[in-house]
Amino acid sequence: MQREIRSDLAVNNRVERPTAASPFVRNHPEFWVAVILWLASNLFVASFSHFANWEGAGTYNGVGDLCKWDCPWYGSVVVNGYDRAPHSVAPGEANWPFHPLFPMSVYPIHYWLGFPLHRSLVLGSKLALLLAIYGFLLMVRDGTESTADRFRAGSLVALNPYLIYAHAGYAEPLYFGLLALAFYFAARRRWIAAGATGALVSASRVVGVVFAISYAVMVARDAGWRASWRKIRLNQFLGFMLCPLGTAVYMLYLHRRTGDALAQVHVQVAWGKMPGNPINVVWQCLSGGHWLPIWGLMAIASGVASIWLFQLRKPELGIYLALSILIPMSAGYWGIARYVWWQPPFLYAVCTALKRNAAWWTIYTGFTAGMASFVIWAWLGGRDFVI
Amino acid sequence: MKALAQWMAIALLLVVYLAALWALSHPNVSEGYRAYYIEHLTSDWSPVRYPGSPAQGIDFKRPGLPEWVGLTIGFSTREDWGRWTDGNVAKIPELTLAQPVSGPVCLDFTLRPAASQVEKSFAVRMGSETKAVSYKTANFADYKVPFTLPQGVDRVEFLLPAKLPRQGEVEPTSSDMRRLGLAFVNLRITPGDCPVDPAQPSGP
Repeated sequence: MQREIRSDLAVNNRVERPTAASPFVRNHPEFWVAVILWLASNLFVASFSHFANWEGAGTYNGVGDLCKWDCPWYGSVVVNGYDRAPHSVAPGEANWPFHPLFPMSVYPIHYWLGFPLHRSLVLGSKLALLLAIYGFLLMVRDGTESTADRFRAGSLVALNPYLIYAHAGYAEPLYFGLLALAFYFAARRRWIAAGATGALVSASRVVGVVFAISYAVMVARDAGWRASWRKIRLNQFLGFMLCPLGTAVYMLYLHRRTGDALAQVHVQVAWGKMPGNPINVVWQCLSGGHWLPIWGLMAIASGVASIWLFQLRKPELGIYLALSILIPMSAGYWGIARYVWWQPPFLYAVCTALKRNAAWWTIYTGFTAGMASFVIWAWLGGRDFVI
Repeated sequence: MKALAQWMAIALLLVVYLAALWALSHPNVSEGYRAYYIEHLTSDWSPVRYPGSPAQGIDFKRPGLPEWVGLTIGFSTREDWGRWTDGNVAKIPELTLAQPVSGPVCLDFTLRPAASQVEKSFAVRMGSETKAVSYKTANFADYKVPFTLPQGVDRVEFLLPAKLPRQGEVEPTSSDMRRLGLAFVNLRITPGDCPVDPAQPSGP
């Protein structure tokens, strides 16, 4: 018994042992954990990309070769700006759904540092992955006491089964990182910082505007739920007003550019996406073949996670997860996996579940590592199920 | 001082949101853009245009649209034999005309009804005139419908039963989700009265 206690103390001592690192690293253990995991994620993708290349799945001569599918669309925004009108050839696509924040973050990499376009886009998403890991570690800070906890939590982002989107010139890691930071700031009652970050989230993906609802829930909870308007402080209200700013500014820009403030939504018809019933989409998935039932199960898993987050007294995360999956799913099933696995509330639920059932970590890690490597292989092979 | 700055920021944000709301409710787009992207009433975006007049008609087998047709509304995409109307796209399929037509005209078209419509009928509306049409056969047949059109008219509408069934409901083995109505091969608008045809519909 005494030996066990000593052993526990030793573990604790190991956790708390002061390091020779800089005060910043000492005070921000999440940061260096994020850096190590970010390096590991890059090594993982580079390794499996090379393996896929050797085995003839696709061509990989450098990170720029990972820029596929949506990535060149972001590239068109970086180089030409937003289209004035849809392409004249049917079905009339345009680059409006690709929100401006990610292309803006790539602009200096391409034009100031002089990297080729595709490499710039991939580097932009890779850099944003560092923010995503760090932001998520801050978001789950209250549940991660030790360095090992932080590594495990951060690995959910860094070694995500769909980690390819963080290395392929997509906006997902930027959106994820900013959203995680916005939740972190709001949880610490840094309302204006949360609102300003929420504004950036709404400029990174169309569903980012949903954070305004989560923010309102957090303010209402902070004021004691039944509070009157008079109990809401001015900085809380200002933060709330900031949340949808990115969307509003983009809408005004699109109206000036194209005549349609909702062009980013309306143009989805060119990809065959029209508003419908998300329940029908889930049913379509479950009654389909190959990947469809798997996507359907992912959608159901996100719904279950959403309800569980409410039970965990995290309604702001539950409501965000539910809406951020229902909105894109109402237009079809393409991209469901990406939408589910690049949502901080979903990974928060996964993190909490695995923390409570530590034995599942090994099983989870096995499946996600396998999936991540398979997705990289499929990505380089140009398979459309990973769009 | 801090509170004043916060109130000013809130006022500024309110202006931005009011402007965004105004922009949202005032789209400045073409009729074709509105029909395709916003209202989803047409499956044609920026179709190839070929020369032609109402009297030369529209060949639904041919890619694109003749110059005299402004928009198609409620039509499915082109197939080798022509185009179906689809109740999912619009309840009232129609052709809008680039230039209005007036005076006596004969609307001449070849079509066949969907399997669910064979026992039913439909009507054609141009301006204030509506003509009922009974199907001659379940197969493709030619129909001629006369209109007087004392005033200029810029659209031809086909009035079908309100709730068309999905094709999958009519043929359980079909995965086609469209609500098929009429299968058009061609349509033309010729000036003057229609040639006498005893099988043609009666007014009004």
